Amino acid sequence: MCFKNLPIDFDAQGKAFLRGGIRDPYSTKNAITSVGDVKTMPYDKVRELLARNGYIKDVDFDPVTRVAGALAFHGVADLENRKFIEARSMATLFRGYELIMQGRDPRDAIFITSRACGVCGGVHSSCAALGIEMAFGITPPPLGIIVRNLLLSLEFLYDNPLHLFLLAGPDYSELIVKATTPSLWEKAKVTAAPNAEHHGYTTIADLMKDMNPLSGNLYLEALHMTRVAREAYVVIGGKYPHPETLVPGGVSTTVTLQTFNEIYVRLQQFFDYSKKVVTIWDDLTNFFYDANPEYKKNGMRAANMVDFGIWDDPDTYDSSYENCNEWGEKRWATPGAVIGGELVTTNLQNINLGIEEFIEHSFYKEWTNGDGAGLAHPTDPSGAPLSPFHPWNKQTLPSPSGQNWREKYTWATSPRWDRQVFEAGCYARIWNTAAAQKIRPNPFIESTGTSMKICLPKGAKPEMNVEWKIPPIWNTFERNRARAYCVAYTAMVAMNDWMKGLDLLKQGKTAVATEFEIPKTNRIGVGLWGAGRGFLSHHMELDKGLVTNYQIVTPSTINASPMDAWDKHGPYEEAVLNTPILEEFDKPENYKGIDLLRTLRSFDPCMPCTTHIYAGEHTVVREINTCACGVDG
Amino acid sequence: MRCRWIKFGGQICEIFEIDKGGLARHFNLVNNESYFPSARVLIAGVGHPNLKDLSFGQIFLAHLKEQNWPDNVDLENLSFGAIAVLQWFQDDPDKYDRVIFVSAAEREGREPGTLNVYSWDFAPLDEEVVQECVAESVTGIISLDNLMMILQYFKALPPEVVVLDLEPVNSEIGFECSPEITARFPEFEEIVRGRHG
Repeated sequence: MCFKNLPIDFDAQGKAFLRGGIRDPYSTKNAITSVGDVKTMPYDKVRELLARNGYIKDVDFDPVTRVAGALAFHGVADLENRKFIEARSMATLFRGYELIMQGRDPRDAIFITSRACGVCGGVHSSCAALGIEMAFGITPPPLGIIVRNLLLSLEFLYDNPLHLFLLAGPDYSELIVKATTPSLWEKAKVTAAPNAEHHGYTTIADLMKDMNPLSGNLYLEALHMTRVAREAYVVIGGKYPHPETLVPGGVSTTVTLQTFNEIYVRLQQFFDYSKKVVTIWDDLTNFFYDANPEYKKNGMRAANMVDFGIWDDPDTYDSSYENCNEWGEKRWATPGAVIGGELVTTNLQNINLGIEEFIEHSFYKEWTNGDGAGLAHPTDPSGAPLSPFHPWNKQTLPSPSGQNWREKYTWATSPRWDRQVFEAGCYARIWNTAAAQKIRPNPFIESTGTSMKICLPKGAKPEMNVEWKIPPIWNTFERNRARAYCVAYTAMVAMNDWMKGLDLLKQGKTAVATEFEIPKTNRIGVGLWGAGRGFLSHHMELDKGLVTNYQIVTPSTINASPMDAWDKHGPYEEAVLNTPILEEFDKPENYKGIDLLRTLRSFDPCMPCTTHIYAGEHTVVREINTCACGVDG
Repeated sequence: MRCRWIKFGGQICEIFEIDKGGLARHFNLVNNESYFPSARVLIAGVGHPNLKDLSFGQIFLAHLKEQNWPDNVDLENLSFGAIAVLQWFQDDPDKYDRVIFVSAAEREGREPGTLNVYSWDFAPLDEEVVQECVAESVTGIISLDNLMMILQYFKALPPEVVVLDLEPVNSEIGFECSPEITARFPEFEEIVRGRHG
């Protein structure tokens, strides 16, 4: 019984059915039980304090990036009590890929939806291909699945180091730490780095110096490693970030021994690099905790996270919804929903059933009549009940209006699982996989139930075993630490797939794609997949060979989501509301907002975000950039 | 020809503006003293595709590629992430003596159809701005402004850099430039060729 709020029960065989005796089972007026609720001050009370208290300040993040801006953040900071008392996340751009896709050949989705993102275009292409395969009823040959897995891994090996050292990393650099918390910098200078033998930095200050933007060696090395990953990617993807070789039923590239060799010479560079990355983020995280335990509250929220799992098993994946629980659990990353730190299901169908999108605070019109009557899909293809708010039933009806903090204020929707606020991230997949203990036997990765053990092979550095442990708290620092371990995890998944691919080549199983015809009957499909920053789904309906509905849920839509139908804040908002202000400043004018910036960046926000922090007449401008997807609903 | 200042990617640049009828031979930057026929020259288009005049960098480059050029001139589409372009230059750091970037951008206060032609002035850069450029570039933004600042910061530009920067007339979705801009391609080509004789 994984659902606490949705009206879904299961019979003795585990088959889901709609609970009886409820007049309007999916009504948003029904009460819910939420885990990790955050208490906030009433809107009018905040306005009153703003008007009369000099230490209560508006903290606004406006979309004024020079080239593109898509996310803004508004908050109210109590600088005297060093906390935030109001937070609102705003996606300021409507892009409408769902509308663009309507009426098109479904194959177009692979190329059009890729453009949703400038970093993770390939994951959208793959996700679209998975959904099309389900709708068409086709399965790629084993080597096609392996190549798709490798593409995904290589994309993450670009994406995660990029975030850790080019985007979030500077927040932990000498330049920023010295400017925002001088006392911390003094401690860093005299604190030995416990993992010096692995990363080469004697003190934490030495490490922070090399994280300086533009000039630090770790920054420059990450720039270089993005190239290594990109080069390996284009060997099989044709180009990056929008691959040319993904097709329904596999890939369109020719794969030979040379292809695998070209990938390996690049992939193996990540074995040693991973050793460095995990030990650096271990040392940084532990230093902050030791220096001031209050940092453990930075960006803290309940460990609610959901992921569909990724990296299919070529011996199990058959693209069908009917068998999705079997092939889902065979993925290198186990599907899972974690609520309050507990893994409540690894069943892919249940994870899909639990997804709903709400628009009470978003610039869209309601598509249901409120009672679920006339639903396009009252059940999923297996007969399990589907919410009117489920993506297969959702319609995208944009309705721009004025911004009002109490009503509608964003283009992002509020995706929820079992009506719980959850977050998306690569950390969800390492958490699920570590907890589930379902990972297939392999030489490099072991799931213990409370941790993931990863064996990193010998390179220039000796073989090293690292272990990511499920943390007792969930916060800004743990997001980054887990992301660092995901670099090692991803590299070794890629190695497993590389070995399997080589084995298939040796057996002469060189086919990489399956032929197909576009069905003309009504079909539905879904790609249940993941981006570098987690959870990704493409739900689609086809008729007469064309797309009649297409719904994308991206990780940043989830993380940047506004309040929902029950006025529960989205993950960014919750995390900021829980963040203590630990920055050192003598007067409000000198406040820079580093704690808040670290918190927002720890989610790896998938949209350019410019921050304008207003403190009276004083304005601070900071940018939070990652990639440019996930801004629409 | 008028001389004025524009804000370019957060930096202030002196630019020499050519009006609609202006030709390269009247333009001292184009017929400048540094011309020498043996110089290795790169003509590079920069911009997103399929946005009519905003894609001028790519579309005009395709037009130029159809013309005859001396052996010392290479034409490349550099419409990809600025960090990848930086690494491309770093692979062969002394390959070019001169680069001509061709691009388009919507800039405040500029008349549609204006083509600004100017030498890159290598003014000192604000590191915070450069970091923003890197952040945008690695996350999928393709922009001439970001590219120029990143290439300068990491010392990847040759000593002589010229930019042809167009204000779009029409930046809607489309594979070709607007008829107004397309009709001026010969004029723009003359400007580019003015540097090479």
